[in-house]
Amino acid sequence: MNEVLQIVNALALPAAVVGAAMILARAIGRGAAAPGVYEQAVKGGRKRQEVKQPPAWASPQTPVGMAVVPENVSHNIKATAEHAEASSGADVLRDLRRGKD
Amino acid sequence: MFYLGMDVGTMFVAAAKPASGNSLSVVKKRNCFIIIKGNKFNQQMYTKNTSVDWMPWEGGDIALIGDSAMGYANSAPTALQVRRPLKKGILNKTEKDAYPMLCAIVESVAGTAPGGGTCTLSIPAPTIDVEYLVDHHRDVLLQILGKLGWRVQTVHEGYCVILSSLAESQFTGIGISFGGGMVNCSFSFLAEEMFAFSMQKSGDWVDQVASESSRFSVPEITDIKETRFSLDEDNIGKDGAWQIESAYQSLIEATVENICVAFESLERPPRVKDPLPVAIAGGTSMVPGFAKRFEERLRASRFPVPIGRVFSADDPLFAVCKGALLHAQTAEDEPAEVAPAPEPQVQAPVVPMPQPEPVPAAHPAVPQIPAGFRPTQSREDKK
Repeated sequence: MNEVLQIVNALALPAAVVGAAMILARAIGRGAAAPGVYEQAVKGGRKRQEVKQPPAWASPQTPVGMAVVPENVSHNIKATAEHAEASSGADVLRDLRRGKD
Repeated sequence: MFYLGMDVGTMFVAAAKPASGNSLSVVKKRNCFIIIKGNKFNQQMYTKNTSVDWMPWEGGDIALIGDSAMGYANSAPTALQVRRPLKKGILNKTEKDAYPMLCAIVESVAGTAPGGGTCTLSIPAPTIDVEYLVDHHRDVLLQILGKLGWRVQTVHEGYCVILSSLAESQFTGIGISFGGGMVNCSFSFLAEEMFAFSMQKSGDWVDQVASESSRFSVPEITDIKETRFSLDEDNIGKDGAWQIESAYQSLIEATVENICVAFESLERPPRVKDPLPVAIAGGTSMVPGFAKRFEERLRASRFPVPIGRVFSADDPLFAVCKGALLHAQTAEDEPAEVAPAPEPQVQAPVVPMPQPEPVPAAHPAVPQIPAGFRPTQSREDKK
């Protein structure tokens, strides 16, 4: 930070430019410190957490389309139903299909 | 007896089930996911928050599904893109987790049929671009739904649009589904499918082409298309919208051209007393002005049969699954289709490739039909 101030003083830059340079310097400093802290937090959290084994079929190593189909899929996926009007013509369609047979 | 109409698309998985009276219960789930690093905090948070769709993943990670994945990707501080089990209308061969994710999403939407139930699954028609591309995709879905207890039959997506939208013309006409990954088109005469084909260019293709010819990224183009784009407006000179309009125009022209070629390849043109109605469905067709633009182009083409009403289906996102449900409810006595048993080894299945049927000679004045194009693919052929 001091080096930045020395440079801008030496160059006799306007106040707005000095302000921008200081904000930039702070941002660079903050960014440099963040990854290490974050990685430590993540590692710590992963050590403490209770590891749940996913079902065998969920293995990402399984080639597409070749896994065994799961018997009981364990998930938390909800599907909310909406109401819609039914398509008409079921009787006509039934008759037409019966006629073809 | 339970009935189910199922539409597994690139963008959405949708299902229709009968409800009380003349109403249906429809369910849809965005067909995408994202896998994030799991920790004690977010596992507890997602367990308590019942509005998030998720499942535990390998190594304690968390798989977010559907809108929950989309919401996470959009709000994340870093650039994240959701992953998709399907690409261009079929199982995504480049996505290693496509299969288990599809299992979970399909199960959440279709539910189980423990006492037995009849399901009609919409599948893509043979593609013009590559032949036999949809076979494995169909087998995978047959297997997933079969394990859930459903007795499954398959029909083409375009035919489902006809079933849900063309009852007034006794199921005679053209049905087109403009999905995220594919355009599916069928022509039916008195509920008998005469031909069907699909093209692997649709909504995603529009986004891609418009992005490549503009300064916008694909997500930005998608946002413009879904929020403020209209084919009714003059888009000339508007950055982004102009490129989208050009891509839409190409898509419409390619679809109309292929419908004309398909009709010309029939042994004789259908003799219908009334002009043929055309029903349009699918998310890509929901752009304002799409049906009008398509109708103008179709009427200006060399289409050999008089054209009747060209219209958007009442419920464009659910037209396919509603038509599939109607098929399931009227097809109880037809035999179910069974997917071939999976190979014991973890290897790609070796299936002898059938020889393509001879392509009928095209009229000299029209473009040559692509080599993989099989216009006639009725249900009888599949049996």
